[in-house]
Amino acid sequence: MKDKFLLLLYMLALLLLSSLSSIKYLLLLLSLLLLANAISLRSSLGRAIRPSVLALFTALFISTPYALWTGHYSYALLLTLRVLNLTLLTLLVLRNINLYLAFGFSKTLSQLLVLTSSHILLYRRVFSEFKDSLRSRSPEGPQRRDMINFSGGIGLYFFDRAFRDSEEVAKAMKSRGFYID
Amino acid sequence: MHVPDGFIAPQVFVPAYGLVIGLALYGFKRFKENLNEKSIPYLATLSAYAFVLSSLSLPLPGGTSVHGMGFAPLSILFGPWTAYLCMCLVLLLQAVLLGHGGITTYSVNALAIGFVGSFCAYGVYSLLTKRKYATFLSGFISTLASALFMSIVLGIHPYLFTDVDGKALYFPYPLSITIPLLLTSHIPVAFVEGLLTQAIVSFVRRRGLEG
Repeated sequence: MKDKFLLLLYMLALLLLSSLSSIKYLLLLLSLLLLANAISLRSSLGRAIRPSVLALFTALFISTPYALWTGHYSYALLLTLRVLNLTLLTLLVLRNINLYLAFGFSKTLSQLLVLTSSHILLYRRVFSEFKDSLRSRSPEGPQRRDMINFSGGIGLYFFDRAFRDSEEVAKAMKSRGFYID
Repeated sequence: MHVPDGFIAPQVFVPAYGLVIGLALYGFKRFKENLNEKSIPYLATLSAYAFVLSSLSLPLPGGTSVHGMGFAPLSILFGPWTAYLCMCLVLLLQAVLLGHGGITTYSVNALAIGFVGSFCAYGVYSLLTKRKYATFLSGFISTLASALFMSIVLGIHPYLFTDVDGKALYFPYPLSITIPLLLTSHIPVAFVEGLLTQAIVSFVRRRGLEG
């Protein structure tokens, strides 16, 4: 219940933050979010730095030419503040919420999210091992032809695997009574 | 292609969310008709497959490499609705697990990549099905169609959302800038998507395993 409520609050906060265009309020909210993130991370903002810097860089990359071109310098500040606020809010919420429980209002959706994310993590690991094996077998770096063949092979391997895994998961779910309401 | 948070107005992303959810419900209903109990695991593993496809990259001249997005092979092999559902899931998990693309922009990303991309890929392939380069063109054209859709969504913002001084409040560049800029910057991505589509579909076809 807590997670569902937090998700709803988060959605409303996203709406509010993306609707705001007052620099004063955005600055106030930014200071609150920085404080909340610092408390949440036990006074270490380390894990929040990379996504925040990326968001900041994107905001400046898009807003700076426009600000210079039109002379609307406050626009760059407005956009940067909004992007930072949204990023910090998302980081804060995602650290304090169990997404699978939050989406528990729909049995189908929560099952889909759990199964998909677990398979993504599994496939990512296998995929990175395939990539490492390709690199280790091409001392001078793989050529484009190798990469196309590798992509086709990977596509075929995971195609087979996705079908096999889906059959196994379906049987496992059935045997554990997932389809009995 | 992934638009980060903060650039899209709530007046755009909220209706887009409604559209994404409505289309996903309809797509899932269609999808479930054929599979029933197997629907959820099948969709989950296919989405994981789509995630792997979107991780594939090819080297380009100049030492860079570009990622494909994976919706075109999925659309050709399994149909556009399945590809759309998979891309919705993949984009959602990318946004919440990996921080690729924003939460407020998820709906627009899902429409551009998932819906426009998948249906365009399937449409182009259906039209050119007897031609030699149908799969390549399917991936290439659908990627550009996604980029065009995104450029239109972004480009309408300065016309609709400005303050009293005429200053932009969200994405600042008009259609005259976004359309040429996004289309030209996506040509390498479209080329890679085309090559990956060609490679994956032909490998799968050669095995005679079409879904």
